[in-house]
Amino acid sequence: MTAARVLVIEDGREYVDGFARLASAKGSGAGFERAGSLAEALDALREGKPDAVFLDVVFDRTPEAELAGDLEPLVARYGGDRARAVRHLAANQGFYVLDALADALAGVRVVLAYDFTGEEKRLASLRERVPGLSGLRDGASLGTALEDLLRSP
Amino acid sequence: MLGPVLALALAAAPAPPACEEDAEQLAEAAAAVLAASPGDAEALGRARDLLRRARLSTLWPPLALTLRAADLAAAAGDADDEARLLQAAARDAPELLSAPDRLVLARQAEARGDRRDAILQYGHVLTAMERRGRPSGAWIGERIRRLDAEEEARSVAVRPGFAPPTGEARAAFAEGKAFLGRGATAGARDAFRRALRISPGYVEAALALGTLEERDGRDVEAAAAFRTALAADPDRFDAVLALANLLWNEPDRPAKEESLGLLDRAIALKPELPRLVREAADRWAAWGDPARALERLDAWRATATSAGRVATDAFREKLAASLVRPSEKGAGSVAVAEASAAAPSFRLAQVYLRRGDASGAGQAQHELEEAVRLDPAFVPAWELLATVRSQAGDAAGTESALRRALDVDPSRASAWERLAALLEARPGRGAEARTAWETAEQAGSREALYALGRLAAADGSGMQAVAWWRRYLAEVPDGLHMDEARAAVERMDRRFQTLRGGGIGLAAFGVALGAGLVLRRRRGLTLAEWLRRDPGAAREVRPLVGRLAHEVFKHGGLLLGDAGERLSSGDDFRPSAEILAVRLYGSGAGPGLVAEGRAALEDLAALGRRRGATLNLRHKDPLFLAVAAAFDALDAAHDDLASLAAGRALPERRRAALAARLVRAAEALNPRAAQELNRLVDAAGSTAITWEALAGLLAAVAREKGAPLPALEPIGLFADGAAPLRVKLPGAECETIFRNLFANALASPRLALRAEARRDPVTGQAQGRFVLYDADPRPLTAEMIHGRAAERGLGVVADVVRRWDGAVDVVPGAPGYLKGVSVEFAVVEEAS
Repeated sequence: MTAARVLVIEDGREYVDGFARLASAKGSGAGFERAGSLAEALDALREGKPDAVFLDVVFDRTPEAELAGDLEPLVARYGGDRARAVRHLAANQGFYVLDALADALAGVRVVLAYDFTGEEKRLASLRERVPGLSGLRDGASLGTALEDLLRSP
Repeated sequence: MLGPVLALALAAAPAPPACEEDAEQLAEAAAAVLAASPGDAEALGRARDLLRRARLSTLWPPLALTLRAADLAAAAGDADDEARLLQAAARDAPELLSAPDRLVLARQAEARGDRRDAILQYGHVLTAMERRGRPSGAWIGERIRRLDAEEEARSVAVRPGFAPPTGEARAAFAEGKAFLGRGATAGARDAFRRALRISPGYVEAALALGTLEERDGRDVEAAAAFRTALAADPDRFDAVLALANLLWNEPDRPAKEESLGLLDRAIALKPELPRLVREAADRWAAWGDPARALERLDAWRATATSAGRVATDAFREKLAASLVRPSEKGAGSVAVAEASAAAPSFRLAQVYLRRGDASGAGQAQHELEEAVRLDPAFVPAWELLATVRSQAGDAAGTESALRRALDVDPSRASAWERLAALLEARPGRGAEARTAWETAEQAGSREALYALGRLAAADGSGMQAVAWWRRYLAEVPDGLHMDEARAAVERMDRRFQTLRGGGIGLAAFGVALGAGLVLRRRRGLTLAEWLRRDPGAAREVRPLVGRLAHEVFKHGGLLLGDAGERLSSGDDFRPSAEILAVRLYGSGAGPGLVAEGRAALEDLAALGRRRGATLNLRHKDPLFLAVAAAFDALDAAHDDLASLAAGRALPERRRAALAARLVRAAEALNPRAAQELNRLVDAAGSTAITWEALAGLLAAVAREKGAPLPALEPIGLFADGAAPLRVKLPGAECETIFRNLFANALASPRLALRAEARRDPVTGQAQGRFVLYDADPRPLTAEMIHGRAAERGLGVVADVVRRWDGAVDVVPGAPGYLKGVSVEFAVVEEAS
C-alpha cells in the first residue's frame, strides 16, 4: 500500500473518520480529505487529483442550496412539486456529484456507497462516463471499503 | 300582453313551497318579465329571482336554466353568482361552456384562491385560443405558469421553516401538562409559552395554550394561540374548529365571516361529522345567507334520519322563503346581530379577570351576569361565567352556565368537554358525563376520544377503550394525553396477550407459558404478510426501509463489520470504542444508530396501525427478529464500550462477552438485510406490464363505457415482443393509471401504445416509459393534466404518478397520431 490521497465526499463524517482511524491503525500513511458538497469537492480537486474518491449517496443533511443538480427540470418532471424534486436530489446526491465530476475523475478510482448487486447494467452505464467507478458491495466492512479504495490499479 | 301580466303576478305573489312550483312556468315568466321591461334593473332582479325559484323547484335543474341564470347574473354584475352557476353548469356539461365562460370561472377560482381550478379553466381557454390560431394566448400560458408557481410556493410554505419541536420544547410542553394535571393554569401557561418560544411551530403546545386561554376567557390570547397552531399546520382540525367557534362568538361581523370560512374548512377536513354541517346551516342562516344555509341544510338532510328531516322541514321552508324574498334578507328569526348588547359587559369582565386582583373575580362575575341578562344568547359570556363560578368552587352554578351556553350553541365542543369533566367529578352522574363526552366527540372534540377510552376501560370494556385510544393517537399524534394513551394501549395489549395465555394456563402453567410465547410469535403480521395484504402500503414503507437500509444496515455493517474481531485480537481498542460509542449511542449531534433503528421500526409499526394492520416485527418477522435482538445486544454492550472508550481495561471474560455481542449485532445489522428488505418492498410494490393485460383492460373500459373499441397498435417493446417491464408500482395503481388513460382516449378511432426502457442519465436508474398515442384533435397539455382535480380522469393519473414518484407528460404524436400521454416509473432491473 502506498501513501495515497483519498477524497471522501459525504454529508457527515461517518466514512472519513473511520477510514482515517483504520488507515492509521494499519500504518498505511494514506491521507484523507473530506468534502461535504460538490463545491467543496471541486475545491479539493483544484488542489490536485486524488488517487481515489469515496462518494456517499444520500445527502439528506445538506442544505438545499448546496445540493448539486439542476432543480428546475426535476420540478417540471414532478409536475411543479418542488419539495419532491429537492428530496430526489438529496436521496441521489452521490450520483449527481459523480455526474458533475465525471471528467475530473478520469483515471481516478471511485467507490460509490451503493450496492449495484442486481443492477449490473446500471453500473455499466455509469462506467461509460466514469470508468474507475465501483460500488460498495453488501456486507463490506469499513476495512474492506478502505482496501477497495487503496488497492493498486 | 298576457305573458308579462302573468309574469308580474307570479313574481309578486307570495312564494308557495318550493317543491310545488313549476320550473318551466317560472322560467317562462322570467323571460316575459325581461321582455316586458328590457334593460330595467328591477325587472332583471325579478327575473333572476324567478329563475332562482325555478332552479330550486327541481332537484336536477335543466342546464339551459342554469346557463340562463348565469347570463342574468352577469348582466346584473353579480360575478359571484355567475361563477357559481357556471360551476354548476360545468359539472353537468363541461363541453357547453364557452371560452369566455371558462375565463370567468378561472378569474373566480383565482379570486377564491383555488389555483388548481384556475389553472384548469385557463387551460381550456388556452386550448380554445390555440385551436383558433389566436396568438394572444401567450398571457394565459404565463398566467398558468404563475399560478403553478404560486401553488408550489403555497405548498412549500405549509410549514414555513418550522423544525420539529426540540427536546427542550418537548420538556417544556410536558411540564405544562404536569401543571395542568395539578390545576396550576398559570404555570401551565408559562410552560406552553416557553415551548412555543423554543419551537415556534410546536402545534400541540399552541393548541394546549389556546384551549387553556379559552377556558380562562382570554379569547384574544386563545385566538392568537390557535392561529399559531394553524400557521404551522393549516389542516389541523382541532385548531380550525376551535378558532371557528371562538370567532363566531365575537360580536363583530368580520370575525363571524372568518369563522364561517373556518367552519366550512373544518367540514371539509372531517366530512364524517354531520353535526358540523347542521351547525353550518344554522350559522349561515344567522349570518343572513339563506342560499348557503339551505345548501348545507340539504347536505345534512341527505344523511339525516327521517325524524331529523321532519324536525328541520320548517327551517328549510323558512330558508327557501327567504331566498325568494331577497329584500327581506336577514329579517325575522334569521337576523344577524351586528353586535350583542352583552359585548361591553363581557369585555369589561375579561379585563377584570386579566388583572387578577382580589376583587377582580367578583366584579367579573357581576359584569357577566349583567351580560347574559342583556343577551341570554351570548355564549362567550355564559362560558366565561362558568369559568368564574368554577374558580369560586360553585359546581352547580358552573354546570348551569355551561348548559345555558350549550342550549344556545350545542356545537361548542369545548363547553361539552368542560361539562363532561364537571359531571364526572360529581358523584352519581357518570352516565350523564359519558353522554356529554359522546356529544363532545360528535362536536369534534379530540379530548373526548381519550376520555371515552378512559371510561370504557373503567367499565371493563378493554377492546372499546383501546379502539378510542388508538383513534386518539392517530388523530392527535402528539396530543396532551399521548403518553398516557400510548401507555394504556400497550398495557391493554399486554393484558390481552396475558389473558390469552392465561386462558390456556388454566390447564397447566407450563403449557400456558409456551402458549403465551407462541401467541406472541403468532400475533400480528410480518412485513411480508402485511405488504401482501396491502401492497399500496409499499409506497409509504419504502422511505422507512430506505432509512433503515442507509442509516442502520449500511452504516451499522461498516461500523460493526470487524469490530468483534479487532476486540478479540487484543489490539488497542480504545479509538474504535470511542467511535463506536458515539455512532451507536449518539452524542449531542444525533441520537445514534440504535435509537434511529428503533425509531424506524416503531415508525413502521405505527404506519401499519394507521393503515389498520398490527405488525409483529419483534417476535414474528424473520427479517426483524435478529435486528431487534441486535439492538438489545448493543444496549447490553453500552457500559463496557463506554468503559473502553474512557480508557479503562475490561476483565477478559467481559471483553469476550462484549466481542460476542458486537459480532452478533454485526451479523444482524448487515447490508444484506437491507437488500432483503428492498427486495420484499419491490416485490410487493411492483408489477410486470404486459401488452395482453393492457389490451384486455382497454377492451374492458370500452365495454364499461359503452364505447366502440378503438384499434390498438403496439409500438416499441410491445411491438418487439420483449420481456415485460416490471414497474415499481402495485398492480391496482397500474390499473388505475391505464384505466383512466384509456377512458380519456376512447373518443379516438385508433390508439397506439409504446413501451420503452430508459435510463436516468444521471443516476443510471432503469425506468419504464409508456406512451398512449391517440388521434383525438382536442388539445391537451401537461399543465391541464396537473391542473385537473385529483379525483377525476387524468387528474387521477397525475395523482397516482405523483404518489409513486413517477412522471407524466404530453408528448408529440407518433406517425399517424396527434399526441401522446406518457407515464414513466422506475423499474426493477433483472440481474444480468
